[in-house]
Amino acid sequence: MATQWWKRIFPKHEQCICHEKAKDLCHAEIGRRFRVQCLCGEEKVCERLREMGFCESSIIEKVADSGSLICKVCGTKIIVSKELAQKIIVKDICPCKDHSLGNNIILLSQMTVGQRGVIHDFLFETDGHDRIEEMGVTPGEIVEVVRYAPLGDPIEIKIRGYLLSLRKQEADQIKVSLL
Amino acid sequence: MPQEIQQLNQEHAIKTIALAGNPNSGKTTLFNAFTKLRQKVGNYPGVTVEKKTGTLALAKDRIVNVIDLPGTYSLSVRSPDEQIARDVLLGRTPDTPKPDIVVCVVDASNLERNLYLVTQIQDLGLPMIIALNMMDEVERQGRKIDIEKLSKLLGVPVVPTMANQSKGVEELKNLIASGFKSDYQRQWRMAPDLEEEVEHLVRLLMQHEEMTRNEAFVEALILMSLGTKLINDVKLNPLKRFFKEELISQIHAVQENLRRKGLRAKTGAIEARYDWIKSILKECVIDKDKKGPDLTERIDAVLTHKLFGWVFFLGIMAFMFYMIFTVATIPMDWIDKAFTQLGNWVNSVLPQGDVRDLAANGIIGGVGGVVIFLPQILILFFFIGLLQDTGYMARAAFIMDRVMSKVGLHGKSFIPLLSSFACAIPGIMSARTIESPKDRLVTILVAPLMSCSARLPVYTVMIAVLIPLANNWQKAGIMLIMYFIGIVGACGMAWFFKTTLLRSQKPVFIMELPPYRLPSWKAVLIHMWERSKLFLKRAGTVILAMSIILWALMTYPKHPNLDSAEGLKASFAGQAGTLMEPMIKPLGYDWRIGIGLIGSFAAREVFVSTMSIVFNLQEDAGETTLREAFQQATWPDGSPLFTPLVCLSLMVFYVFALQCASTIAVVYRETNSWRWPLFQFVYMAALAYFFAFIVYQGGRLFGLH
Ligand SMILES: Nc1nc2c(ncn2[C@@H]2O[C@H](COP(=O)(O)OP(=O)(O)OP(=O)(O)O)[C@@H](O)[C@H]2O)c(=O)[nH]1
Ligand SMILES: [Mg+2]
Repeated sequence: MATQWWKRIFPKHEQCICHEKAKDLCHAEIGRRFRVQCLCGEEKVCERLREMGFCESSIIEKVADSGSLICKVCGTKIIVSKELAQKIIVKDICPCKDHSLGNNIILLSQMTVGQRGVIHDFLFETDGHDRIEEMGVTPGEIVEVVRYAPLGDPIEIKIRGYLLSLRKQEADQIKVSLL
Repeated sequence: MPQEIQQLNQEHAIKTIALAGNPNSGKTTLFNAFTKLRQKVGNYPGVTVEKKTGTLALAKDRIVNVIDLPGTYSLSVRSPDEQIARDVLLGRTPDTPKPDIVVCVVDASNLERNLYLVTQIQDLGLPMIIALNMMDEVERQGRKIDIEKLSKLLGVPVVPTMANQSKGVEELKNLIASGFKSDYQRQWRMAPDLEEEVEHLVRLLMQHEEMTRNEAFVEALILMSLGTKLINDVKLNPLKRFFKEELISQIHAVQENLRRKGLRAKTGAIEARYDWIKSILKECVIDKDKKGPDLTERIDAVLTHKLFGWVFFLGIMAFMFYMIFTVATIPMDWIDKAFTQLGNWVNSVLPQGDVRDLAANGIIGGVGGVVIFLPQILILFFFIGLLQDTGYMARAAFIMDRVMSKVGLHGKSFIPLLSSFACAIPGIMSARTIESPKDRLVTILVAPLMSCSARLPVYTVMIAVLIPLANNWQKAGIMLIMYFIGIVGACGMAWFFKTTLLRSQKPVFIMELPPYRLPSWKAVLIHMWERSKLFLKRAGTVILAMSIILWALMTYPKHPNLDSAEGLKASFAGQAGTLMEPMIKPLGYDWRIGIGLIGSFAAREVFVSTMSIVFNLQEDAGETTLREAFQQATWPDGSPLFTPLVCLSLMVFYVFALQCASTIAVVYRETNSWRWPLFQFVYMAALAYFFAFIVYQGGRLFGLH
């Protein structure tokens, strides 16, 4: 089953589902640090952003904003125009060290229907998460719980624009930070 | 082992070394340390936009070529300057051999992003050394880099350097001379499916095109990332290559395959590279506890502030012009006195006649009239050098971005414009860093509207005539206004072009802000020295030649029975000026100013030299200064010629007119056609006439004179 899914996991033109709720860099507060959730612009533009260090899940700081923004990425300051900043979707990072990914990290299996979150990491002890990762469930991705099967297993989630069902056993092993 | 290396080295005797790296990592500084040349260094990204070659003596009889390249963030190019760097590294520049060694200059204070390019260059399979530059900044930041480990993990030799203090340069030289072994194996991996497709393409390319594995891998990555089908046209396809038909169809099959699977090759490769880099840095960089915000942060809090940023920007410009009018006057007086004495001496030794006239009025009057302005130009270059070396340029771009984005360009376009304050030629060249071709063209078209140093003499003279009794702040204020008319004109025309002729999407703007650095006084002085050499060379060539030609045109044919003023009017130049007079009379100019205008189409400063020749020839008493001569000049009916309105109209004319042969030549070179320089010349001349007309006639409507 996994291989079939694999072929559809990375769609050609991915719809950015995180656009509405997670904020773009323009609307982020000055002086805070954020984690990049996704880039949703033209492929070419995103590529340059990634090459300059705005990779998914990298940490950036917004320094100044006057039309264009200044952000700190990988230790250097970079000017980013407003249009570009609107394409960078970010999420706050809690300043205290314990919650460097945000305060509310829960397990995927604990999420309620309609909740959205970003995959944080896995609890698998063995290599079991390889298969999950192959299905596109990778840290930094945004998931949304679509529905639970009547007995609470499996769970249907939306990730990278596609629906995917996971067994509860697997969902128990995935840490998610809520959006 | 060492023997083996030695052999390896002699077999492929090193002939060419290329310096590559991210923008502003210190490539040119290292290049200068290697070659003892003086290429331009500055603390902002995109200083070098051309490849420059020099030589380095590794040993007594081993001289190698060193190539300095424009900085680039990645090998997937977006702008013309990055293209140059990539083509040299891939060996695709006709006049440059493929480098035997790449010295990758890496800014150690910003390792993560810099190493990204390193991984890309490693893929090319060229022997590489990493020059880990700016080690002093790393120390200041309180970090430690385990160099041995870094070298081991990357699989290439790493040499710590501080290029601006020439530290580590010897070690680097020795390493190149003694040879080294690089055992790089690609260690970053993409998703398994992607790797499979890449491997497939690599095999195809190796089979059909007889490429090495490295070349094939690089091309495969590029091919995979092309969203569209590959066109088999050498000019259009980004690889500048012609593929066999059967290979093309197979490539298309792979691309189709990728599309079907929805695999995005570019993203996959970028992330894989960054992941690998992060894992390396985790092991060999030790971060100490961060101190508070560093100095750069604090300065930036003010200089990029919405309001204070502007205040500072205007303040620094006003201060610059104030200095131009205060500090410069003393040496200007000296130069003036020297030339007057030289003229007197010539007058006393040479017999009366044409030769004496040519020497005293034509050459000394003409060239001297321009050379006087050297101190002012030096001060201008001193300030521009400071702006470039401290890192303020990029901040100015940020501040101006709001204005620039209103007219459809972005802040990056402001750097060529700001450089054009010194001279439009380097300004136009630095437009190469702009990604979008249309925006680049717009920037090139409006860059000469920025007041360059050649206009400084004209403004200075006119301001002196306009308000002889003004204090220096007032003079600086008028100067500032002229510069601002230039900026506003440039922005207005950019907006006009962007909405009509060269319509295109609003570009995305992404630019690095370098940390502030103390200016290196040596670099600033060298910059001033090089510039003043250029200026004097111009005075000695173009302006000298123009002075002689104009003197001749103003002297012949001779009319012995006319007095000097009428004789001038009857000369060739006088006739041409008289012919022009009806056309320029609406601007308030007479035939004498007409001569100056014609002359200054070769170079703007010629206006000043022409005017000094005109008045030297006219007033036989050579004791008056140019300013006094201007003030005494009258129309035939006795009313003064240089009224304040005429002065203003003339200055406005010089703000807008493109009177510079070298600029036209550079625009031709950069745009590869005569169409744009001609268009530029015409539109700027039209603007100049239009605005000079408005100023003069408008002023008269309001009862001014
Ligand atoms: N602190 C410090 N500054 C350095 C060092 N090397 C170079 N610089 C400064 O870094 C700035 C950039 O140097 P350049 O040599 O112009 O950089 P580049 O790589 O040629 O830049 P582009 O031509 O724009 O690609 C200059 O202000 C140098 O003075 C160093 O080792 N330490
Ligand atoms: Mg350079």
